Amino acid sequence: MNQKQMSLNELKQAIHNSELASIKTVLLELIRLINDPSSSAKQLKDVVEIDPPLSTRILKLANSAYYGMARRITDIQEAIIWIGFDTVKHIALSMKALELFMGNELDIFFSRSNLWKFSVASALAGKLIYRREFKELGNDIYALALLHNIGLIMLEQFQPEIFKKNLMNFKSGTKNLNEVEQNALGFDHALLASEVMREWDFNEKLYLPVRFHHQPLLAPRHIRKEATVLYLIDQLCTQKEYGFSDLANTNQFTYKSSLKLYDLEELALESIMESVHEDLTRMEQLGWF
Amino acid sequence: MINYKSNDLSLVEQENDILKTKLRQLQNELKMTQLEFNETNQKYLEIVNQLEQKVIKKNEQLYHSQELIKQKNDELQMMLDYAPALIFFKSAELVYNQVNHKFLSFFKISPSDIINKKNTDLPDHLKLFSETHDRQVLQQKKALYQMIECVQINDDTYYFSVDRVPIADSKGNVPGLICFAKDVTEINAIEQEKSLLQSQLRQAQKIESLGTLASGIAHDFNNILAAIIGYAEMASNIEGDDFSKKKYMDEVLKASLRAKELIRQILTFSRKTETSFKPVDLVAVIEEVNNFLRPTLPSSIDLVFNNNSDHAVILGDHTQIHQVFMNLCTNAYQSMKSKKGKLIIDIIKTKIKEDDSLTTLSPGHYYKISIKDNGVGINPDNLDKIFEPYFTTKKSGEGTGLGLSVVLGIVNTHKGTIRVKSELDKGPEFSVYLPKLEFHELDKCSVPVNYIKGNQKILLVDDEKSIASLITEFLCYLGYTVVSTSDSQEAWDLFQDAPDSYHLLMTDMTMPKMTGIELIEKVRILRPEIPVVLSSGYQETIEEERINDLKNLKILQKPYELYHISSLLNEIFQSVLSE
Repeated sequence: MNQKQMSLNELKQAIHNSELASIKTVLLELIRLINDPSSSAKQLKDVVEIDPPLSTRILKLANSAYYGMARRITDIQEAIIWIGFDTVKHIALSMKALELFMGNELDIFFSRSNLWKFSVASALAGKLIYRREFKELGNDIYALALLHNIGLIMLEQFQPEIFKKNLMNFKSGTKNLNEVEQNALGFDHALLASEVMREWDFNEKLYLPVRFHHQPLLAPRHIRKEATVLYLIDQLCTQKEYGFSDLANTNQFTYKSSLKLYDLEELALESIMESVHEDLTRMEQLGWF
Repeated sequence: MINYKSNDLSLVEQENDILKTKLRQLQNELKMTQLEFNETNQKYLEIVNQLEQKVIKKNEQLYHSQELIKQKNDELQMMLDYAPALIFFKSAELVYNQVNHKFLSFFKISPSDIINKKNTDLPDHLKLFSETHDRQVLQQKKALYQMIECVQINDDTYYFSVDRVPIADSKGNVPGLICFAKDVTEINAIEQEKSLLQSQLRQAQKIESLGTLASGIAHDFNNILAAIIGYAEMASNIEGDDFSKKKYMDEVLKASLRAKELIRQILTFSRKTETSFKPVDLVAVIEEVNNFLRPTLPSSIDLVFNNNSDHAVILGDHTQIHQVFMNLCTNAYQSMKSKKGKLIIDIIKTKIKEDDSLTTLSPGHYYKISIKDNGVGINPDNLDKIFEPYFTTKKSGEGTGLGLSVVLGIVNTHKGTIRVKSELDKGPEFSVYLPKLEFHELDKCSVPVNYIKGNQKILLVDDEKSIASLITEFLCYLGYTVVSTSDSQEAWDLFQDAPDSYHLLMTDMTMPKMTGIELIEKVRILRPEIPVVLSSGYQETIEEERINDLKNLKILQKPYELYHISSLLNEIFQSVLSE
């Protein structure tokens, strides 16, 4: 019954040999496309077209009432033009990331789909903060938000009993899950995810914010903004109770400092969460969750 | 301070803050959307651009295809235009839709004369090909091949072999037909000519075989005759007074001599070896014949020789040519049974062209000698047979029937022909065609030589006019200036007029009035060193002592070939130059 606890390196090795690793190529390719301003609709189309479920999803979106097209769109390239280049990229990325969140439902309290919903809400919130507050496209933040909690899935998959035990402790106490993990394992899911992403050749701008998203004030300066936004949206989505959250308490000092650091007002974040709510509702209608 | 604010005011301020925040956020969102829009727009333009490139490429392909179609069309049109037939398309209503270039050029019309018209719209001379056949093809939907149709253009009749092929569409309808008309007029003519030539060949073969037979008999017969004549002569010379016996022997001798003459004729006729041909002046020959015949003709018969040219030189055998005209003239006067009559001989130059289908002669210049009389003429039934050996209308004993066949044989070996025009009771006309001697033919009677040309002035004298004129013509051809005469006395006069103008004297040996040697001796008094060419006949003996005294003299022994003259003259003038 007693599961042998794996070291960080053992876990990394196990993940490396697992099917989780198989989606890394597509994920990387999508992220590269998203970050490459010179990438064309044709390149995106090429990536999308080799994935029939993704194509279907994008065409379904393009033909949804939201875009109010008078005629049916059947061509991916046309859909990309109408939906918007960035939106399609985000959808594609989400669809690929979703594959990581598929699996057995372990617990009433924690499920991968719950975590997925949380991740999507985080991604939407992160994107809107960048756009509406920083006047930036925030492409990285979308991917970051989607993937920042995949460490939980890795633990759940490779150390299910230990993960369950940690969950119980987290649920019954006031400590955040990463603190429970630190105590039990010597590392947390954020470090695990970050390490794996590094091994998967993810950019520093991606794996470092993941590692520091629980302690944004400690993050290196060049990725502090991303780590901070990840931290903030975790707080916001927890408040709104979108899916599974690994938070049980909020360090007010960190929170207030984070807001102040980037000149963000609570009022503004509240307004953004209203928009996130609308988007999530529409996505639910489209069958995303 | 805050405490004094009413709740309402605080609420309004809070609302105001929210609105301000939302406005700011929306403004930012708008900015971002604008940015995205611009980016998307850029990408959209790229796509449009790509599409445009595609359209341009497609257009180019289309243009290329059209060019290809046009080229194929041109090729097809060219094939139609230059095909060796008249090609035309007709609709089901028999309207001419299209005709090829050859069609237009053949009838000398323009497209507007024929396109979109049917036979009933066309003038009579353009109602060309049979519509009956057209209809048959359209009705039966089956091709109709090689229908021979006759087309009349002005006074000429053309024959066409017409192929008609129905044009079928994919539904099996026949919306028209295509016709190929091939002009076979010439083929018809060639066929006719061919059959004519074949009959001529048969005739020639018949004559040849008879000739072979005759020569065999003649040879033996000659030996027999020699014996008869010999013994008859001896018998008639035997001393004695048996007058009647001598009279009978004389009759035997006379008959034998006639037989001998007959044999000579047969042998002439059948002789196959070619006689060595020399230039012969027809005018001189005919004059000889005239002089020979005139005394024997009754005074009631008028013999006229219309001589239009001084000389008419051919390449031939003098004796044989002489025999031809003797025979023809004799025949002519013998047929003039009425006491009064006229025998007319004409000689004219004529040209046989390449496309002269009426004759077997090869193209070139000919002399045509016609012998006309107003005798009984020839029955048209006999016209085919007159040249056959042993054919005669004369009473037996009067003629052998060999005359005309011998004449034809001779004329044929001279590469000529004989034509006969005759209506009964009107008198026949025999026309003999003999090829004019052309200079390039000189090569044929000697080894091919490059004639050596010259430009000196030569005094030429030969009492034989034909030879004088022939040599003159030849020397002029070589580039020499020639003063020629047939009279040695005149030659001497001409020389005295300008003794220094001549570079050479060319003279015959034997001449009346003054011989060649005498002339040379006189000339040498004025010009001691002038080069001389002395030509001598083969029977003559050159007085060697006299000649040996003469310097700068070359002998030209007859018979000589013309190229001998050119090389001899060249030799002389070269040695004069080197002295």
